[in-house]
Amino acid sequence: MLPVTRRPAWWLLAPAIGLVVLYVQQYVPSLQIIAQREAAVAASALLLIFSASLVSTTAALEVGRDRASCGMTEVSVRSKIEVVAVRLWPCLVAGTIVQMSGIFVLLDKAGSAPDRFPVLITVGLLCALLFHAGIGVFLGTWLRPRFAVPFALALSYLWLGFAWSFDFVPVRYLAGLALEGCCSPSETVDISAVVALIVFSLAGFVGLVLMAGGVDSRKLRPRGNRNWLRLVAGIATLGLGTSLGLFAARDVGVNPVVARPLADAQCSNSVPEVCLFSTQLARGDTRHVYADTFTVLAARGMPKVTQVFSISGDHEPVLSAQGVANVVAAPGQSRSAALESAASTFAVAASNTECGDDVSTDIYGWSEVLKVWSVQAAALQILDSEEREGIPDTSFLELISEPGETDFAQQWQVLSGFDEQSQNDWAASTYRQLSQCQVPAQLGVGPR
Amino acid sequence: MKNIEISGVDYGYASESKIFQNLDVSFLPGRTALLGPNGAGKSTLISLMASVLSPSAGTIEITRANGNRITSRQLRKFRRLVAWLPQDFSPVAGLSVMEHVMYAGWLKGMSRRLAKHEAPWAVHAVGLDELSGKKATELSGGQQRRLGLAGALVHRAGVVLLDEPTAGLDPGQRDRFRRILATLSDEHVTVVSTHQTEDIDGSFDHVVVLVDGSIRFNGSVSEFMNVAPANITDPRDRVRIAYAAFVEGEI
Repeated sequence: MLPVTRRPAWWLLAPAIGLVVLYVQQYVPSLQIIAQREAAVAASALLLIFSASLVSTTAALEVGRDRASCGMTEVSVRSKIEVVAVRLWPCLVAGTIVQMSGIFVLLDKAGSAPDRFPVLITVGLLCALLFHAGIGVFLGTWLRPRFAVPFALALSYLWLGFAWSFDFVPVRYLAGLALEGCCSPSETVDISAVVALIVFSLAGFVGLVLMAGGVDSRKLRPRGNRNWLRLVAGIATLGLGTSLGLFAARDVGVNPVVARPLADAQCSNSVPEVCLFSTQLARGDTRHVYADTFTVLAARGMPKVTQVFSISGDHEPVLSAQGVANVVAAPGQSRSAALESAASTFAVAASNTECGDDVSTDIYGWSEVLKVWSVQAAALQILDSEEREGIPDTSFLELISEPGETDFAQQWQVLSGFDEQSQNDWAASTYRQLSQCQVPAQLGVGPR
Repeated sequence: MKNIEISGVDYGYASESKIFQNLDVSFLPGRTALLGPNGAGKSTLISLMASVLSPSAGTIEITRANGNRITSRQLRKFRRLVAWLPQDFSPVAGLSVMEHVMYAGWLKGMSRRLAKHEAPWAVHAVGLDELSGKKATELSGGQQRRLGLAGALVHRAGVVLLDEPTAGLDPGQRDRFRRILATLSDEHVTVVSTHQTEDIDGSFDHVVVLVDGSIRFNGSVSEFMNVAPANITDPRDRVRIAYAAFVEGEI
């Protein structure tokens, strides 16, 4: 009916897709999403700034065209819903194409992955587009097009941006952009966050369209009981959707994630036992590197580790008293990265001890020296010379060494000159001291 | 053949006293000039008949389709029978002339296919064939009015309501509009509100005079002109005098 060439959504489709592709290539790091479909699709939440603004502005323009005319829609045989639907479908289809293009590019960047395509997150993001279409319909009806279009763009951006920075966390999930914080190999999306987005978006769309239907063309106030009823029903629906959305997201944290059940992890038959999730194994199995690293370091005097997990969550200790280590394991990581992750466990566990401000700088510095030593000690036995290139990285020790304070880079130089047994003794005692908030003594020069 | 029967209609804007109280009037098939001074209620009456406004009491009927206090389905049925061109018609931006008329047809309940089929006829009827590809918003004022008429006519409604269609047009465009009106079938009920009395003779079959919300005259053009003294022979003068008689009560 309305020709394709006259629909603004189609004009803006190609530039919007171009922007989305450029944005993904430029600003979304592969490491964040590699081998994880769920994380890739969740990362596309950021792309709502393009797709949602396309939908809201074109919807405002389309609806505004009918509003600015006179003598056409006032005596329409078609219902308002039907007219709005004819106006909106290209906006929604174009927005969906833009969002899905971003998702496809991200999935391509993520590569093959063992997890399933996250349908619910996708549905949530597409529902968010509906809400922005509602913004366009509402503003396009209540304002002249010259005001409605920029206001729709501004309102879409403000809603996406401000909702994300709201201190009251559940509000963030009504807008959808905060889903970008999901997910990781050891964390999956908190469904409550997506449910909040879907409920609010659907109710918001219906509410805004009802409110738009509360005015007659070019009359900026409702006339007649039916229009007042529409306006009140629209406000009520929007309010109800907001309440239900906030209720659904009431327990969701700053990141919309829940830990994956440990039962989903795949454990090795090694000692120590290493359990990683399927996404962490998708680009190569590094479980034996973790096992070998902890075995080597135990032989060098560090505490014995019996089990290794990679489960996120601040409440999980890096190393428990029972010898359970919680490590970071990124999909596709190299053997040297796996070794660094495992070898850092003791230093990180020690530096996490609450020791007070007066000693924390020294504790931190010594834990970094311990980390460098652990990495080197394990790398020399596990990695070949090519893999050891750049390991251990000691540049950070120079950064944390301040004039007049302990020179940790120099201390590392001294330590590396010690024989193996002396190094082992130093490491064991340093780990013990750091765990008890004691600052180790500075090392003297020369062999011990 | 359809009549418009208006019975006992009350209407008033919230801030004003009632414009119509217990208004009774019928419009017969053929072309009717709805005359009256500014503020007489002509546009309001046209809007009521077009179902843009709803009366607070009374009924507006086109044969058996009733335009007052009815269900959405009945309203849609009523609107299918009516074509309306408001005084301040303005086209939908972004469409060509032909697309605009097709969209108008679709809004009037025609299928896409039928609207596409009928639009060229309507565009031709108002003489806009050569401009059919031009953007509707780029037309002149007179051309836009004709475009509005094409949009109103495209679904071949039985009742055509035109509110001051020639107001603000230059004489050439007014004449063109009159010629288009003359082509409308006598079987249509065509109501044209105007205060230009020179248009009456030869262009219309009936005259209704509306003053201060009440009907002062409703009859044929010849009956209307017979009010003027017999010694006045010029038809335009006779119309002018008759109109003054009903509006101002003097000859």
